[in-house]
Amino acid sequence: MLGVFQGSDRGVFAGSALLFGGLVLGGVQGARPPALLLAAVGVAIAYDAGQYAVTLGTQLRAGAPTHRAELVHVGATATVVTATAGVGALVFRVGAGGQPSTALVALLLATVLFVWALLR
Amino acid sequence: MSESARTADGGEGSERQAVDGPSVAAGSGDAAGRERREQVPATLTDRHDTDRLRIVGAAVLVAVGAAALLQSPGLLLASVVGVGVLAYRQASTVESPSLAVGRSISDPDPEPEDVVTVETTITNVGERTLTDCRFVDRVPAELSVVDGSPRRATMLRPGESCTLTYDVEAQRGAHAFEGVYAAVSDPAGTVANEYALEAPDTIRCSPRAQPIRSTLLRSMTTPYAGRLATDKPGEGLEFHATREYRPGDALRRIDWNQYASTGELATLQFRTERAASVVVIADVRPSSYVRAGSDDPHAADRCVEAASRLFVTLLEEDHRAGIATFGPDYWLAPNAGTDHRHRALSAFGTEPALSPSRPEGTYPVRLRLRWLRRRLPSDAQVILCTPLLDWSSETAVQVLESHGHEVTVVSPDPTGTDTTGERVARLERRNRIRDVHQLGVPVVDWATDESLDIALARAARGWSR
Repeated sequence: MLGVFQGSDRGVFAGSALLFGGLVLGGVQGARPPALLLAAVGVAIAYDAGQYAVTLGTQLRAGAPTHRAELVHVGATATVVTATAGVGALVFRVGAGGQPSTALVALLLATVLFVWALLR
Repeated sequence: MSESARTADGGEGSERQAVDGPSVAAGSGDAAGRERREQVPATLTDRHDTDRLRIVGAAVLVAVGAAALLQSPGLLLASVVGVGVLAYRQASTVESPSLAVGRSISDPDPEPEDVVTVETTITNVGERTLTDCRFVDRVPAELSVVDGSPRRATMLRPGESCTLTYDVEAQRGAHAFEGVYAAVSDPAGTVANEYALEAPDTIRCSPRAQPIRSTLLRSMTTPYAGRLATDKPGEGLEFHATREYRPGDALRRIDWNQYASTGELATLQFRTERAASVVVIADVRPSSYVRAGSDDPHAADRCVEAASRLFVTLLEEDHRAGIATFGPDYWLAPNAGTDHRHRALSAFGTEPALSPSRPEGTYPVRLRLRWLRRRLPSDAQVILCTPLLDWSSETAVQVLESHGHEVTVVSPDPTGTDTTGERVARLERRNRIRDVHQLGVPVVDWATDESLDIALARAARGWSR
């Protein structure tokens, strides 16, 4: 939040890194998976929105009407993130149901997706 | 309300589209609306990699690693979110936009300090939705935006338009809008393409040039303000001398008092008044484009302001006035009359040499003086408006004086006191003013926060003492 107010990229990055650290720590402490998933969604949206706000701020300065672009951008990110989280939760359920083969397939798919996503 | 050149056909009937979002340009049936739907030339100026989601890959790896080490299923699940973000980033692509720009200016020919409303409407005439586009109308540098914002970020569906509405304060000169800067980005914000959209428009603002209510010219000692009194006896208003009566002298000029006391006829003589030719020289060399604070006008700008006001004053006092420059060439031979006045005022407004933006290049004063000396009428007086920041302005005074032109210097003071350099420049200028004074040339030192009338009135009081 402070990062956005000061318009600093690093501020936003540091804040998000702190949040992410909290998330990992939560995992270490053995928090429940749904709570962790929700937290991840929150961190992703906060980071994206913060970075976008800082970009707009440096490019257009204060006083420019930007609501629409912000809503569209954050809305799109939120949708994507929530949808992924939903799918992930579903697969997790199915995997937890005791069908290791399905989970394995999902894991393979996720790996392929991840490698593809990292290519750029 | 006047439309810009490209939308001029729309004329008075064009509707303002001061809305963002739901308004669709196709809905306005008038000519202006249709004109605006033509795509304007766009040049791709830059391409930025603005990918900030790359770091998510690292975060995912960290989370997965931690999950594997600690055998925590929750962390593994949470990292799925990151993979989703990465996939989204991978899939999003940037569109190349086709945009139409129309600009309407409430008054393209305003008076100085008038507030002019500018509305720039940008329409997406392409087939694709631009999910993230940012526009900046490139307002001419000399105009300051007083209300609203020439910037906006929005989403444009096909056919949709957005309007940048803002007010600028008009300043003297011809101000050209350079176009619109557009940055189009993909939904995930990984790449931003910057475009320059062409949308030329001009605001032309001629100065008001109020005459100065103050005695002005150097040898103006007559109380009858307005004309230059000479030492030649003849017709006039102010008493000069008496001489012996000669046959043919008008009866009303006979000094009857003297006739009553001595019985001798004598004739009264008055000072002759004649219209003077005065050439106002504005120093608009690049070196004059300096100012004390960023809010103040440049010294060159104040020189032109002084020149325009002096010019109008001289014409109103029935002198023949002309304009010349040091710097980019401009010359208007001394003359009188309404046409002459109009020509001069429009030059002060729109002539590039007198514009408020700094010219490029070097302009040697000596060459210009040689050129001027051939054109200046031999009895012409010169009012030199210069900040007196370099020795060549002092040379100019010397040269003009030595060729028999009476010179008066009006010098806007652009020096500040904030830094040591500024204080040195200030002292140098003080010394230069003293040197010019020693040539017998009056100098009106015009401070930044002072009005020209006051500076002149103060100086005029000093001279008569």
